[in-house]
Amino acid sequence: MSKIKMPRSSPSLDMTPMVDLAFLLVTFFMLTAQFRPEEAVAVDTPSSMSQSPIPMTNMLTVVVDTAGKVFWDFTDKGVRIAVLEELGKRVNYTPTDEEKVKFVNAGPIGVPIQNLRELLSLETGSERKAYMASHEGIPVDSTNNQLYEWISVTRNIFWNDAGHNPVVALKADGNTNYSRVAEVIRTFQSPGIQISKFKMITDLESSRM
Amino acid sequence: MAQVPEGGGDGGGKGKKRAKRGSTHIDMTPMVDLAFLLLTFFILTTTMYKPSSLQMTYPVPDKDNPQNETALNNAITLLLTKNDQIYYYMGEFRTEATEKGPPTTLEHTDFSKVQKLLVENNKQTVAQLNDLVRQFNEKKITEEEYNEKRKTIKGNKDNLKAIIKTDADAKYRNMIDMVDEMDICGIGSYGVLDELKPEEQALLDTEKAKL
Repeated sequence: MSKIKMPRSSPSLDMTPMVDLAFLLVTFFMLTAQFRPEEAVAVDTPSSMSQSPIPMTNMLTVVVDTAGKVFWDFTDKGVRIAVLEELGKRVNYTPTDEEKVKFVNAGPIGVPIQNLRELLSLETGSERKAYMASHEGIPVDSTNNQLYEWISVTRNIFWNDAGHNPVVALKADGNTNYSRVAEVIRTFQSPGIQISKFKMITDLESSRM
Repeated sequence: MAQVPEGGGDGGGKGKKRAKRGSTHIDMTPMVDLAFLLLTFFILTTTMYKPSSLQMTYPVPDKDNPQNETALNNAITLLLTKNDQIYYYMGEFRTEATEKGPPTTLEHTDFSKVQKLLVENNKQTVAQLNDLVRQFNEKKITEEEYNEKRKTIKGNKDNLKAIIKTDADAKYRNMIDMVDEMDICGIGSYGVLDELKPEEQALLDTEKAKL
């Protein structure tokens, strides 16, 4: 009799624990994945053997893209807003709360100070991206060195808040002419800010050696 | 397809009876398929984004004390230029023959060969560093000792020094690669300049024209 009963019970396994596990893993991966913020500027950083990590907070980044356009970026919200307000004062521009939010979420900013108002009046991220693409970036020439303004304002605000200087990083595209990058480095060294230590952001090299 | 066994397949009156007896289990195979599909997708599409950084220290220019260009005997000057080409000369730049040697000429190299060149000119230091790494790997010395000794070896005055100069056509990538080579070849003291002396530029231009 038992021989007849055997085939009736289906040979299927209880898959519940496996499903549980699979979904647990899926959920874990989905929740822990941090999406890389859409970059307003495409920068292909050169690779190096260096493995020292970069901090995720309190970092001032100066971005130089392939064409040599210069952008400013800061990691922390509060400082970004304060910088916008301070620079806005110089061109009689008082940003609204909505514009501040846009500025905070915009990532690297690369327009002359006088164009900030126009940039932040644009609604969508892609419009702002296009606007930055069609404008010149932060001027670094010796007669009108706005990058200097950006850096010194940021450092002052950060200093008043935290009591020390932010980490400064330079993120330049590998195909930028070095002479352009050197102009930025000269701005770092100019009297008044004198940043002599900074990080150059690179990709970790995998294939060489 | 997920099906709740309600006796659709078998049909007939007997099927209904069976359905009541049968468990209320749902066939979970498709769900598992889906879950694993998603899992695989996420695992495969995730790329770990790990930027790293090179810590650079640039000396703050000192107007009162312009660079003294003595002690360049044991130095190599690397001129980086367009198309990833490198020209170099050893020691001081001589426009004409002096008692120290004939006028400077530029040698040509590129990024695939420069490492060998630097190691050859810096054999002693590289050997010392390799020896140190071996000791460290064999756990004969602690990490602190290793870092300390490494610093001492690299700081030795007689080591090869390097001056990296970039002309208007050099790319940022070239400069980073070169700084990387400095690390690999154990050159502790090097500097990066973005201006060539006029006589260097002239010599470089004639060399570039030959390419």
